Parts: sequence; C-alpha cells; structure tokens
Amino acid sequence: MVTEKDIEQFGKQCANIFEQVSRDVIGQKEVVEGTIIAMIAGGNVLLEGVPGVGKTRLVRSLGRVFDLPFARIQFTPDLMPADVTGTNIIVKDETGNSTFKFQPGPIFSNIILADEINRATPKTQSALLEAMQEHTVTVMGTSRKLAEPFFVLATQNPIEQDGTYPLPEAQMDRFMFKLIVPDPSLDELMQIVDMTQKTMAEVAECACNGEQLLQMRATANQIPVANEVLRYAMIMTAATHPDGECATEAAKKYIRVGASPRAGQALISAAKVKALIKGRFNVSFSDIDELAYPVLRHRIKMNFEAIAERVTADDAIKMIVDEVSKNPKNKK
Amino acid sequence: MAGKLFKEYYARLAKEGWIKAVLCGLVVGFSVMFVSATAFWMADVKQFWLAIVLWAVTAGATAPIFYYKKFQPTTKAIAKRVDLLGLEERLLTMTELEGDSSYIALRQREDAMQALQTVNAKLVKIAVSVPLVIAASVTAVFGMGMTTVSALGAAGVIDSGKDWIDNVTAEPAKQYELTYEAEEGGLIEGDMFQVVTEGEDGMAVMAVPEDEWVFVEWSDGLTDPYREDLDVKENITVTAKFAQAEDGEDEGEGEGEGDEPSDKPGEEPGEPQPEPGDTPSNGTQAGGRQEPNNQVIDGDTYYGDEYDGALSDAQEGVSQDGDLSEGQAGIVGDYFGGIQN
Repeated sequence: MVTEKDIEQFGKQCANIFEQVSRDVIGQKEVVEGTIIAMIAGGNVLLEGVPGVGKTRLVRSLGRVFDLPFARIQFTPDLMPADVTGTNIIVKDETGNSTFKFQPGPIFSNIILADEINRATPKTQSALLEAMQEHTVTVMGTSRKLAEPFFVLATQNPIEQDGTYPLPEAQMDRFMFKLIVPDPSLDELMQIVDMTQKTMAEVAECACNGEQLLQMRATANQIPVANEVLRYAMIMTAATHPDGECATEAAKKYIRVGASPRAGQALISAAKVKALIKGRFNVSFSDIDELAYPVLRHRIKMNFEAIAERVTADDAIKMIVDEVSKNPKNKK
Repeated sequence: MAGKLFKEYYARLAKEGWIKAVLCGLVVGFSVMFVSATAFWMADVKQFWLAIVLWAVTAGATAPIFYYKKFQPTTKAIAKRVDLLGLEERLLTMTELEGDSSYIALRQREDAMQALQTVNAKLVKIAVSVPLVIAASVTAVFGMGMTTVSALGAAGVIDSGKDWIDNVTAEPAKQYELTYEAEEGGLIEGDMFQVVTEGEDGMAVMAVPEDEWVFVEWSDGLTDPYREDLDVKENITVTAKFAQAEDGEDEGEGEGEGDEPSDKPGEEPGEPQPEPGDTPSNGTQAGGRQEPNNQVIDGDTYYGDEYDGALSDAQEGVSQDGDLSEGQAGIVGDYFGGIQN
C-alpha cells in the first residue's frame, strides 16, 4: 500500500538521482531519463551510440548513484558463457578431499555493464537471457537467484560491424528500452572537455540504495492507468504487426515482424514511472506516445522495402504513433 | 462527485449533444421526406404536402431519441473532453477511480481537481462533425428538391413520375430507309438517301434526265419523275430508269427536211393528238417523257410559246439593264440559253 511518505520519497529521490547523474554526464537528458525510468521500472537498457559519447560513463555513474554492486563485462569474441555466469571449480577442503565449488561470475552483481555486447558470440550473449528475464542463473543444473535489484545495461556501437554478432530477437526483447545516445552539442562538448580536464573519475554520490529503489518501483506500480489508456498502449503495440487487426499502414508497408507482448508490458511499466516522475498520478496518452520509441525501436524487424527506402525503425514508429494517435477510435 | 464538478461542462456538452441530435433527426427527416415525395410523384399522388408533414414528424421524433441514446454527455465523456484541454487524462482516470479510497486514488483525485481549476467550461468548444453537417445539407437538398418536384407534378407543371417512366420506357419508333438511285442517263434531284420514322413522309425527289435522255419510269413502276413517298412503313429502294431520246422526240427542235419545224405538238405530223381528258400516265405534268402532249401546260397552253415570250422579255431586260457589265450580261445570256436547250 502506497503512503504519503512513499510518494514524497519517490519525488525526492528522483530529483536527487537526476542531480547526481548530471554531475558526471553532461547533456543526454533523454538518455539519462530513459535509463533511470527503466531502472526504476525494473527493465534492462541497451545503449547504442558511437564510441566516446558517454555510454559507459553513464552506466558507471548510475552504479555510484544507486550504491549497488557494479560489474563490468567487456564482451569480446572469445568470451565464454562461464566467464559471465561463473562455473564450478574443484577445490580441496580441509581434509584434502576435492569438491566442486561454484565460483560466481560477474553476473552475480546488481548492475551489470555489458560493454559492446554485440562483440561476443551468440552463445555467450545467450548466457544473459535467463538472468535478464528471470533474474536467475542456472549452472550445471543448479539455479541461483540473482540479487535484487538486477539490471543489465548494455552498450553497442552501431557503426563498426566487423567481427560483431547482432543480438538475436529473443535477447533484444529482454531489453525494456533501446536508447540512442546522440552526439553532444557544441556547448555540451565544451562542458565535457572542461570537466574531464579536472578529473576523469565519476564524482556522483549515492542518491538511493537498492532497497529504496525497490520501494520506488513498488510506488510507481501503484499508479493507476485508465482503461482507455491501457487499451491505447496495447493498440500501439499491436499496430506494429503488419498482419494484426490493428495494423497501421506504416506497419503493413515497412515492418516484417512486430513487437512482442513484452513491449506492451514495458510501455505500461515505464509510463507509470514517467508519470510519477512528472508529478502526475495517472498515465496519459502522451506518455505512451513518447515511450513508444525506446520501447518499440529494437522490437520491430524492418522489411526489405524499408531497408531499400532507408526507412529506419524510428521513422516507422513515428508513422505508427501519428496514425494511432490521430484515430479517435483508439482513445475510446 | 464528478457529476457536481462537471456541472458547467455538462450544460455546454448537452448543448452540443442537442445540436448533433437535431442534425441527425434532420438527416432522418429529410431522408423520409425524399422517399415519400418520390413515392408520391411516382404514384401521381396529389397530396405532396404529406411529405412535409412526414419530415416534421420524423425529425421531431428522432432528435430526442438520438440525444438520449447517443449524444447525452456521460461523466466519462465529459472527463475525456475536458482532458483534451491539457489535463493529460487526469479526469478520465479520476472518474474510473471514483469510489476508490486508496491513498494513491486520493492523491490522483487531488491532482485532477487541482488541474481542473486551471481550465473553465468556456474553453470547451462546441464541435459538430463536418460529415454530419454535410449529411444534413445533402439530405435537405434532396428532400426539399423532391418535394418541389412532387408539388410541380401534382400541379401539372411537369410530368408525373408515372408519365415520365412511360416516356422513358416506351419503345422508340421504327425507322425506315428510303434510297433513290438513278441509272445511266439521268440523276436524282433531292435527298437520295433518307431515314424516315414509321408513318411519316419522305422528302420529294425528282428524276432528271440528262441531255438527249428521257425519264422512263421508277423501278417500282411509277412513271412520274417527281415522287414523294408518304406514310412510310417499309424500307424503299427504287431506281429511276432513263432512255435515250429518239430524233425529233426531244425538245421539238429536230432538224428535219422540208417544212419549217413546228414547236406545237398538235402540228407535229404523225404525232397523236391528246384526247380530251387524257392525263399523263403517272399524273405528273412536269418533265417526264418529252412527248408533244407533255409540252402542253394545263391542257392547252404550249409551253414553248410561254418560254419564248419569257426569254425575250428577260433578254430585253438584260440588255436594258445598265447596271450589268458585259460579262455579267453574257453569263445571264448563257444561262437562258442553257435553260432553252
């Protein structure tokens, strides 16, 4: 049951989190807000951007802000699943008998930075599937629960494709958001250079611990969603399916595979957090419209026509959002 | 509670609802008017004013039905409309949470009420959909137009629908072709190919022989070169037959030896004199076989004399006409010569 204190704390902590992150990350407001929304909502985030735009720094800063155990895994082609999950090793006990002992991998942490995730082989990438969805790891037939809260914040470079393995759809679907990290503006660039001349280390301080983060998630979950808004969010998800009953013209023309039901779940969970961050106690249609981009862009598969016409996932989502939002029947 | 809050908005949206309901009623009314006026016109019923009565009754009866069944604003509908003023679904959620006493619901209500203070009922614009206005206008035009037609039909100014349908569905009259042809030695003066509606008359044609030819007869046996087919009931194709004139038969200007040739048929040696009461074989007196008895007008006037008199008068007139140049006088002289030939 949410209390007045929970609401007050949510507001305070949110403001504190944004303030602390802004000490390390200049600009990138949308990316920062998106990442924080996903973390409060309990989702994983895929950050895509060219090298040097501050992806890794953002994740490291968030690790400090939430005061949670943080592990960085640099994904490379020779990284093995056991390097991520951990493995059983033979150890000798006091009596000299050899026994298996589980040596946890870096995934047994609260915040995982999967740096350049698309450089590892699909086999290793798949080691994250269970952890990202069920927050458990199974090694040698034994399932182990991961500590809560658990997040995977992955980064990838969209330009350099040599020696990379595109993430499979199942993996992509497990990221709540895919956020595009843009190049900084001139003013931001000047501030970045000025700041890093003094120190390269993150300076953000703890604004919220794991327990408080879980409480924030529980508070946000209580935000009511009107039936019309819930239906609208589901229409938005279904509108990405080219053959579905809600198929939009853009989906029919440019999309091969639409978003999964996880997209609908992600839209609503994230919209609740977004509404509360804005100080509103209900989800609005505009929240759904805004969140459609980070939630849907990695979940839709473009067809040949889209590739030929250079229509990006964001272009298609814009068309879908326009079409869905302009149809008054979708808001009834 | 929401009902109290939305009182002002309710009044405004009720007004909008009534406008929409009346427009829908008019659409139905005018549709009924159109159908009934059409039926009256088609059935030649003189009581066209019944269409107007039906319109008034239907529109009056359906407008309240539309309002109470479709356009009467509900709390949720009002909340949605007010939310469009920038309240981001606060009121919609509030109406859904009505009766919920949880803390989050209370906070949401407070938040919604606070947002509601920032707007007022005047900001909600009364909106009527364009298609509805168009539908009402179109049905009005059709309904009133058809009633006018029905009234004009009843007054006898225009045909009733029944007459109109009879005219439209009546079979078109049959048409026949009249073809007039000429064999060697002559030509057809007039329209050689005619299309005539059944029972009507064709235009007159004349079989005109060339020089030194005479008309013999039409292929259907008629001997009058002038013909006009009356009350046509079939296709007609006839050919004018001509024969070469024998010496002395034509024009009476033979070059025989001996006596001065006489133009008068009665003086032609060996030629039979026309008996009193004789008429040309096909009843015509113009043209035809150039026999001496055919050169007589109205039984006793010899046309050669008439022509000669007319010719000399004309020639004299031409010679005395100072306005004519020598060339023009020559052309007129040639023309008279041609006629004489």
